[in-house]
Amino acid sequence: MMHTHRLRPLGIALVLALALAPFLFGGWTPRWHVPIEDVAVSYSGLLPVLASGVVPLILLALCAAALDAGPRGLRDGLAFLCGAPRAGQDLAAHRALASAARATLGAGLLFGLVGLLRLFQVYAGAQLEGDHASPADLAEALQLILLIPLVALALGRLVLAPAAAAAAARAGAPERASLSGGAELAVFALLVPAVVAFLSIFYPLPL
Amino acid sequence: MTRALFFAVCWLVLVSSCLFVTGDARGLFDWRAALYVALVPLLASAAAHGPSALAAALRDARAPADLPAERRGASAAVLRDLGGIAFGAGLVVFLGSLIGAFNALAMEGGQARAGVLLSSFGEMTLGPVYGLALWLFLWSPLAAGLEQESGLGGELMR
Repeated sequence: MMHTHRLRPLGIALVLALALAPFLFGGWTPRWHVPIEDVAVSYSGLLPVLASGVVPLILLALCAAALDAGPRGLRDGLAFLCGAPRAGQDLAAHRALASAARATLGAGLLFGLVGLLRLFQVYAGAQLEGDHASPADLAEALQLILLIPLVALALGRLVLAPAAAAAAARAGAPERASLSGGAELAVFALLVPAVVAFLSIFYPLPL
Repeated sequence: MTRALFFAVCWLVLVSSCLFVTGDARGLFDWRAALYVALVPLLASAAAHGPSALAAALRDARAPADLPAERRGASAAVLRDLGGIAFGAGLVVFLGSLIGAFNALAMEGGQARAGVLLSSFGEMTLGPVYGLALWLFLWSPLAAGLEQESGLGGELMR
């Protein structure tokens, strides 16, 4: 069993890299050969989003794990995730990872909704000035609506929830529901206003 | 490192990043939605579980260590339920204010004022935001603390 645990961090890094790389490097199309100036441009736009959304997402997941399973449980969960599970603490690790997965997806949805609020603020602000919303402002709000839930899905659904299931299986305990399909559907529903707003860049809405 | 500290950090991160994202503190606060999302779950839970069970759950959250396991479990279930209802109440706020906005639009003669309509659309998202925040970072941690021997409630009240 030991070798599988040593491979876990590598597997997690691979899953996250494959899931997020197309979006983190140069625009929204998957490209593997990226000129350095494209990376710089894309990161200069991404850094504020990462700072305002993704870092808080990770902090909130850590806090939720500690609130549910206690600080020791958080340590056990992180140890499990890093491929060095502490003997006899699999149940605590499962508890911590499951609540972290729930909190990640929930917080992704929450920040997506706040991004939606921002989108309406952009529209309303432009309206008050008697103008259409500028594509740059719209794109900034759209990034918030899409990117933070995207990272939440990648982290919560592809990394934390499977790790929680693995911890439950190792502990031989019945699994607590770490996530439900409804959460993913709710995140997916955020796409609707995002697509409408995106179309409004090219076909101005009668607003 | 206690649960209360994590609780404080959690809400600090949540509020500050929401402020950073919108850049407008006034746009993030709607006292009617906040009141609805905070109070309606309490009423709904009192109607479903009975007022005494709700009061017992809120009381038990303070000092879970002295309680028998089955009572902790029952109270934790009530608190978990409160979280779910809070998100439901947030969605009710969303749909209700959507209908309210369309009603106001239907009653108003002449051209719609898009700025006002758009900012009311923005405010609608606050209901689900409050509901999610209460569910994930208040009721759920309180319930989790109750399921274990020393919980968040006890540390907050100490």
